[in-house]
Amino acid sequence: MSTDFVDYRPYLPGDDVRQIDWNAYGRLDELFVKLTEARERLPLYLFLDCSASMGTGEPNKLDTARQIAAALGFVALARGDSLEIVRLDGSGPVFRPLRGKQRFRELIAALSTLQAVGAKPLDLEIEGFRPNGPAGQAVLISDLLQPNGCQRGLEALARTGFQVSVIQVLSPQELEPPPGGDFELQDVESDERLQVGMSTQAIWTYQTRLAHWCADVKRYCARRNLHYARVRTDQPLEWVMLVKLRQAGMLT
Amino acid sequence: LTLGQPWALALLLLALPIVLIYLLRAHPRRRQTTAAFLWRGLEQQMSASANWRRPPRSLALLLQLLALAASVAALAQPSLGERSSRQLIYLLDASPSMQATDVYPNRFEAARAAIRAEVEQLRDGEDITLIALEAHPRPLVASAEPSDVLRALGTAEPGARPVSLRDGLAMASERIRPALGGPREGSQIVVFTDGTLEPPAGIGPLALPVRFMSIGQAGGNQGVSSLQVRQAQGQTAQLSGFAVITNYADAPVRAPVRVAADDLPLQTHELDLPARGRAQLPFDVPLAARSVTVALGGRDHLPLDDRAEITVPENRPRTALLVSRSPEAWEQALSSLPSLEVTTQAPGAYRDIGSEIVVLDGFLPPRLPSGQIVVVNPTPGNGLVEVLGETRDVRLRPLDGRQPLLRSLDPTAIHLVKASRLGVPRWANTVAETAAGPAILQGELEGRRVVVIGFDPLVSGLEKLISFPILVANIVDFLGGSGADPYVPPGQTVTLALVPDAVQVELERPDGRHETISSRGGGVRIENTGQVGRYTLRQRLPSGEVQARSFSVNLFGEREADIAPHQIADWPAAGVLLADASRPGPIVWIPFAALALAILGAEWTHFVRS
Repeated sequence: MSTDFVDYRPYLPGDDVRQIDWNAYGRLDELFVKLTEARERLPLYLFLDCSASMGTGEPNKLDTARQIAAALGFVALARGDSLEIVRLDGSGPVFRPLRGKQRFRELIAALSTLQAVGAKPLDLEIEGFRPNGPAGQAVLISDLLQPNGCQRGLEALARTGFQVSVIQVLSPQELEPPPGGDFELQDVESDERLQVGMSTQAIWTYQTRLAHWCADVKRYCARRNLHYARVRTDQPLEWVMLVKLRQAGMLT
Repeated sequence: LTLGQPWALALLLLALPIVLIYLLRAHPRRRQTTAAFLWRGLEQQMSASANWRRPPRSLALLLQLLALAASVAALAQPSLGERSSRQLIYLLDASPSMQATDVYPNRFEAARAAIRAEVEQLRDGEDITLIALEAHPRPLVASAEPSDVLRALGTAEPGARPVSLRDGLAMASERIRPALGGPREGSQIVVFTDGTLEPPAGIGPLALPVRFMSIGQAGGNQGVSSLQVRQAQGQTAQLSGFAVITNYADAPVRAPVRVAADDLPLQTHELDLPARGRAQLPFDVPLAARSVTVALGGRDHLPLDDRAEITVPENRPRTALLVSRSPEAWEQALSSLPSLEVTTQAPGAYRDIGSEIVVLDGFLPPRLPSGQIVVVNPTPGNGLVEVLGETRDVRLRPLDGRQPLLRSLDPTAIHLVKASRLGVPRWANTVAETAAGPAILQGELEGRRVVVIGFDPLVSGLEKLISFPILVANIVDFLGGSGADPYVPPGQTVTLALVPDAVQVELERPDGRHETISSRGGGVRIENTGQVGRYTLRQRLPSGEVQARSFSVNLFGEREADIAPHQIADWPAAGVLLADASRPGPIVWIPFAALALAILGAEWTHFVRS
């Protein structure tokens, strides 16, 4: 728990003399009492999806996730909050907590080491996470393209006491696949292969399914009072931070 | 509905490869996805064979097959009626006499109008062939509709070269379409002519009857039938000119004749010409004159031969180099020619001294001299002309008696003790031959004229005959010091020597058209001399000076000038013509072609949208 200075008011009898600003009395020859506001320091946990699917897209989805994580991390460090990066790639290790603006370089260095290599279901990763300290804010940055969804993981975080926000990152190629010819589609994580003719009809069906998929996630988040924002990798970072995340209520 | 080109239906087989392409499963390209689960159910049905798939229900395939069908339908030329089983072949005489103006505006245009009138009476679906009877008969349109024939008719032009009715009928005969059971009634060959053509010899009755449509009314024509200019005997101050004016009319006429030199009037005469007779006109020509023109005044029906022009042979000394081991006979014959300076060299001492004419007797240098060349008795392996063998005791025989090299000669009277059998290189043609093969060749090689004599005149004792100096004079005339033949008939190719450093060469034709022509090897070949009149070659030198040289193409032939029309009797067909019950109708290919285009457009739109 910390206190932040808010304002002054004239001293009244009965006030705690420890709150009198003696420096002001020296300059002004009047007694003033400092008004303060107590604020709880909540740790911020940034869950970065580092599965293989995040390594796709143009611009790359993992790069966009890194940029959003860096921006959110900078805000937290500047406020003196504790910041912890949790990478979800199945390899397990978690970066140690950071605090203070001077650790921003460390944050950038840590983010730059991330690679999109994992193939472990996101739910299992999140469910297996145990915070070292108190639960705080949790921001999951992922494409959420998991065949079984990620509601179980989000549920587990919420149960643990986290205030959860979800940022879904998708690339233009996922949202608008280019048409033309027959393709053998290979899933980057499951290695599943499908022979698909990229006709207008097939693409339209895929886009409808994707839209329903995203709508389900959004509905779930709304039902569970979680913040949700969907971001395209070709959207400018400034617009994402200042408009998109503000609209989603993640930043004030 | 009948098909004009039923073979086009075979193109429907192209549908097979189109369908095969759709049946053949293309090896799919690989693409990564991050959500295969969202694509499930959209994958194609895989058959047992990896290379084939079921026929797809593709709109593109359907449109392509429809476009193919419509295109094939258009190519097959469907006709609403029947394709006529009769055949009409029209021959349009384009000989010089067809330019006679005894009918308005002239016979050629009258013949064109007569054909047009006949064709306009025909219905669509008729099978019509139109042949222009030119120096070499030329089909203007074959097995065509009346509308196509009318369009092609406008492209025909009369010429100044003699034509062969025999060649025209032979071509028409080749164009007769074979019909089941034989030709049909109404089929015929129609010749639109004034009847001045030489009767076709050696060609029998044709499969179709031949009808001759006579064009022309009157034959009143007078023309310049000969014009010569030569050195006057015993005079050095002027030249002698000689013209023959012929009256081809059946009545005597008085014709004004105007003689000019370099377009300046020399004299004018009134000549009394007897009926179907001629008058000779001698006249003097200044020594400096370069061209002489004789023109008839008055009015006759054929203007083509009313004016003749001749280039005066240059009076400057010409040079000849004789390279021979036994030069006496050649030296004597060459030296007897006026204005020819002869230099003699032995083969061992040969040196190109830039002579205009070089006679190489039994010898050929590694590098040909720059002048015009006479190669006499070439040895085997000479590199210029292939010597295929040798023959003995043979007589010469001409291939074409009108060749300038054989002028005033009777080659058949020349007996050769020994002669070579020559191969004919691509640049040469045969002038005379023996029973064993070509013996005298002429041609053009790298801008120079070349004459090859495949025998040694001395071995055959030819130098003792009058034929030898005549042959030598003809050779020198052909090789030409002036570069232009004094007499050029229509259609003859003319070769002129060029100034070596000319930067631009331009030819002005008799009709006033100018054309820039390319030179090669120091000479220029002027082909397509079908127009009568003066041709002027202008060469621009680097200094800006322009050198001009002219030659004239004249119509001297009496057969062409005697324009009295003759009715030629029609020829019956060789066999019986079968009855024609067909009812021709218009061809309707355009709607099918438009449909094919529309379908292709729809297919393209479908492709772009998908």
